[in-house]
Amino acid sequence: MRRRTAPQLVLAFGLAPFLVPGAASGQDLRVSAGTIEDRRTTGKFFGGLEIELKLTGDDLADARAARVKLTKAQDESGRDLLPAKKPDEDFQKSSGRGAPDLKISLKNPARGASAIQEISGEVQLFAPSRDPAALILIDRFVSRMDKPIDSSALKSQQISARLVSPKVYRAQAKKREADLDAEMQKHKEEMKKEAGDDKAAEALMALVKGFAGMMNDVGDNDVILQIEDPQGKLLDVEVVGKSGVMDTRGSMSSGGLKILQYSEKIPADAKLRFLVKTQNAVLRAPFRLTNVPLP
Amino acid sequence: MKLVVLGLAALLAAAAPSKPSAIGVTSGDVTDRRRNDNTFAGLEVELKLTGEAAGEARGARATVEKAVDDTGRNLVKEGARPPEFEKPTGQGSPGLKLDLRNPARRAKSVREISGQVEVFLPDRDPAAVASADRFLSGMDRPIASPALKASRTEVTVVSRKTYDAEKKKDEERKKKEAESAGVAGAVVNAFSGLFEGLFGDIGENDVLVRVNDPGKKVFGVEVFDAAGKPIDNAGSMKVGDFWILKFTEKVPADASLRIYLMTAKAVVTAPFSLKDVALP
Repeated sequence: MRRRTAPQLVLAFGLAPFLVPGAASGQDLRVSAGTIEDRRTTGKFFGGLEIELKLTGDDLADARAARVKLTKAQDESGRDLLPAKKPDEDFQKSSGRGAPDLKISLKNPARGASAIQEISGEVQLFAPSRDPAALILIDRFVSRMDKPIDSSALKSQQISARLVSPKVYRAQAKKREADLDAEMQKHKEEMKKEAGDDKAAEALMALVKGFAGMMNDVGDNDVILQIEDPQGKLLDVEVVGKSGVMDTRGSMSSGGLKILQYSEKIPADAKLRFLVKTQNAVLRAPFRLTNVPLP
Repeated sequence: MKLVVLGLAALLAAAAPSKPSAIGVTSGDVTDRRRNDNTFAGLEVELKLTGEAAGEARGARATVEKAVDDTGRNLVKEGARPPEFEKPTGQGSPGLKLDLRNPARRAKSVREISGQVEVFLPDRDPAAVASADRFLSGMDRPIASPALKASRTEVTVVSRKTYDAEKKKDEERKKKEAESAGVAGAVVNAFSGLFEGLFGDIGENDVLVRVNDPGKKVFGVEVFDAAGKPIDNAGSMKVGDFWILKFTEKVPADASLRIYLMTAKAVVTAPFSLKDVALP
């Protein structure tokens, strides 16, 4: 019988020379494996190995989001577990005060493998408090409706944004709906061919209209932003009132459009805060887990 | 001589074409969900009904008696409740799934899974279907049917007024029970109230059926139009003794109700045994 040691982890200390120039390296961030699910199926869907990564350490105190970039994942039989298709590597935002939830999706290990020999890569933390340029505040934004936001800080990050009032947005929505209808009529025959029959095509079109309708349905207190961010630097936008970030009752995003939904009227002196992923606000910590037992 | 006759009989029996079995099963997809916290972990084996009667099945369930992997590990979950009958979705036969324990990591296959499958075939017994023509005109009166009587089952289509009155009575009874059960009873009562509030909403077109079925014989209740075509409902639910059939449009006055009963002749039981089911 083999004895297995507990999963080991290697911290970021002393690895700074390998990091991207200009990036901040993590000083106290530990990574360990949490819940592991090995879903093995003869079916076509939902098979794979999912591992929750638990983050601990002082660096998390300021973290608003995190992401993981994997470089190696291999089971004890030597099978490479990195997915063939590059996974979504977007930052995961923290929910509440806890550390951001990180999950990695890998290929199934061999049936007979009892452990993952090695998983290594880099965890990146977004800690905007580390760089003043990462937090861009727009004062009294309620009075800046229906025109581009004039901000040199946003410009320097190559981000442009425009606040749209619900009234103007609704007027534009009617035109958008008409355009969508016209577009769908134009492609109706193609959709019929694609969907197989008239009923399926109509159901598909109703679904598209339904989704579009959801985005068009805005409340009087909602904050609507049209954003251009070609470099994908923007992590989030939030409204800050006198007592901190104002809780939304929901939000929607599609392309460059972002809608923050509020039940109550936004105070005139509220600020809009853009969270930008600048190099200095992103902490990078390499990690290596070894001999992770498989369930 | 006697030995020769016996030998001939055995040969003839072996040579005779075997009668296709009415119901059988084969294994479908196998999913082994392994977790280090054991939450929702287990082995799920899909069973596909085969045989000439599979297409007629209005419901089926499978129970496992033995399941063992190739390392000898017992995969049967102890104390598991018997599964509910599954209904077909669409045109096919009902989809069955066996819920087992995870096999050993080093196991390559499930050496044996055996048990029995019960299939509800109402076409095999005229007493398995009770009908009530123009049932909307017979509200609040138990449906008179020899099939229901034989199954010791009472089915009544009730009006909204009767439903509300009975629900109120039931709520009062539950409240009294909760009061006598103290804090725990109050919590249970609050949760059941919340649940019913969420799902127990009655629409104006819904058909409310009270089912008094001590022998658990009623399999299902369906509404048909005058031409004998089933009227699609928007789902159904059970609240206590009530079955609520939800309809988006008004049910026609000449519609009929069919109650499917699991009589002994209509439920066919067949043993099954699967060998060397490969594990993913």
